[in-house]
Amino acid sequence: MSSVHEEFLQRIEFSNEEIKSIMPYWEHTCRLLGLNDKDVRIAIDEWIGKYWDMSLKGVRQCIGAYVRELIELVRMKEYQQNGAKILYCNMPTHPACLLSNKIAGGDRLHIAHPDWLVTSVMSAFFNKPVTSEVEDSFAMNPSCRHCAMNQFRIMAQKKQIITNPDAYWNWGLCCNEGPKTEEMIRCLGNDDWHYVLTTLPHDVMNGAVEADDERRVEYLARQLQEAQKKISKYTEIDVSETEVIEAEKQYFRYLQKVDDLTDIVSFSDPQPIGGNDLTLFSAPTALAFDTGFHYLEEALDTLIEEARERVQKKEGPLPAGSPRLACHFVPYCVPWIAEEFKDAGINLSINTFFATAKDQMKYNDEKDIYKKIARQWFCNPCAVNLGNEAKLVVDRLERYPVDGVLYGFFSFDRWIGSLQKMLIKTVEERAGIPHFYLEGDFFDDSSCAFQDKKARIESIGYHVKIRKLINAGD
Amino acid sequence: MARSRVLDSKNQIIDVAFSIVDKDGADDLSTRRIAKELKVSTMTLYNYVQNVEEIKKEVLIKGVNILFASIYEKMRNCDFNDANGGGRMAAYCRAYAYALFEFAGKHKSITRYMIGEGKTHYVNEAELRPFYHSFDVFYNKRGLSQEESADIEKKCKMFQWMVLSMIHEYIDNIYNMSEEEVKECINLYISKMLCSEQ
Repeated sequence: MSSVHEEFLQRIEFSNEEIKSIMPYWEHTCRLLGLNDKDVRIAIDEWIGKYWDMSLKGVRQCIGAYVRELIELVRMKEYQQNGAKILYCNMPTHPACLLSNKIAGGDRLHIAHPDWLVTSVMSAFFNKPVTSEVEDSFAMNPSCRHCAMNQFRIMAQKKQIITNPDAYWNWGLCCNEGPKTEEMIRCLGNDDWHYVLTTLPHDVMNGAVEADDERRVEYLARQLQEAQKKISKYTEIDVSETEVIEAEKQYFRYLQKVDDLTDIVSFSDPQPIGGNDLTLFSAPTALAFDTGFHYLEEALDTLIEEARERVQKKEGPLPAGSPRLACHFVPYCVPWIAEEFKDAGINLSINTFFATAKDQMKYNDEKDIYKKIARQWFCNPCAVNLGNEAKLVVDRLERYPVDGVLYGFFSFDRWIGSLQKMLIKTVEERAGIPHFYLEGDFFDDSSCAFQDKKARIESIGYHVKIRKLINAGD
Repeated sequence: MARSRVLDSKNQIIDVAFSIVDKDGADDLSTRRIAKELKVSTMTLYNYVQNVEEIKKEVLIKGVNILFASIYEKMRNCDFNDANGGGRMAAYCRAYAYALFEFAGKHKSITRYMIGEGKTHYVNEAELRPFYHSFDVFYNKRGLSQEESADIEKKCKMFQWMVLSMIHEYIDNIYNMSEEEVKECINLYISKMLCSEQ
């Protein structure tokens, strides 16, 4: 047993017994993903400790939950050989849809968001983005930027890093690249690549509240239901409404706890935990783990308690009164960004993308479970038309006190990136707080050198602090 | 194959571009000249930037960074209740104007680009808009009536026009004002337009 791996797993709260049983699988995972002993050593000594608040047990447990899920993903080949079915999905999704399959299938079915999981773990915890290898192997190079998740999907399939699924549920919805990637995988010679698309037409009036638009809600609900039927044909596991209801309950319980944490972070001064750490817990509200919410929830409960303790002691990464910036989605895969803002005296704070719980609660009385899921999904800013998105974001910025908003990191993305710059101006005017834009790639910092961003972050810091000085007189 | 990277970062390109614009103006900026000064091929530059427009925007961002660092320092050391009066808006106006004059004294060509052609091109770019519209902190905020907001906006715009006109004359050597003259002029405006109503 290699001591560096043991040390790593201990550091992220694996028990000694679990380490013994899981070590062969973890070492196999490292081999497949090209993580050598040196990489793991650097992660322990330099990367994780520097960019993640490892003094918090909840954070350590959460990283453990991600790693546990990654090991599960790599083990899916073995599960498949033993007769289990594999269902993959891209991110973001409504977790209940995938999770209900797991609840129905138990050990006969395993679920994963491999693209998101691998790109997140490799970038956030090991600083080894997966995209550079793809760029060497395929036509998806920097001149033709693509989402790292789509890039990884192709690479993983071609290199057989992870097993091919029995079905891939593609939540294309607003994304036109995701579905094309499935086509490309087929064109590359994999006729057995079975995928089911869930998409939405772009035919809603700008500004319409989609969660209240009966026609739209009905359409998505039936799309999801139909997609589930197709998925069940591939997996041979029927999913009843009872299982979907149970999955939604589990999801919503976790979401509410993330909402509690978001409130603690937003309404306490000093801000008790940093934006990266908060996002680690927020991201799984848009996807489902094969291990369910169990490990995540355990970590979240721990972190909420730790955050409350910090609030009582008036502790936090930065002193009271430090400005805070909301983000669309804190770029936790490039964790030095948040750290650099911290050095400039600025907290990265809430994710407007994930602060959906209070909006989703409005639809708790919806009886049709698929319509409920559709309405909840339409509370996600990135899931709706630009006018609706602006309204959702403004509502969140009015709810949570922040000194500005940081956008960017998605210029490669045909879905989010193209709309962000348009959105900024609208939201800025309505919310009355400045919006800043930082070019970069959410999943891969190799396209944005530290030196290139340092001065820019400092300058955003000056601007925010100037405004804070001015507004202090109000 | 991914293209090899021979520069440490995009910053090297921006630093050279900044020097070229500072010395000879934005019209002389080209990828060929940058490549020559960096002793790399023109194609190498395109591993780091998309085109010369991106470089120009980055030059502006670098200029804005220097300027706002200076404004922040001035604001941080400012006594908002000093004898010159006018509160925080006046303090910001002074810090903005003094910092801009200092910057223009050191970087005439960059300043010309920042307040001229560069501004026209990039004023509404997401990266630069907060800096070009920095005065909106006074009028784009909750709690103000439409009339109040419009009134403050007018005052801010007039102040910026005045400062920018003075800067234009200064960098084009039409009228070489001393630092004292600049400050006197700015303080006179602030006392007449801002302090009287605060």
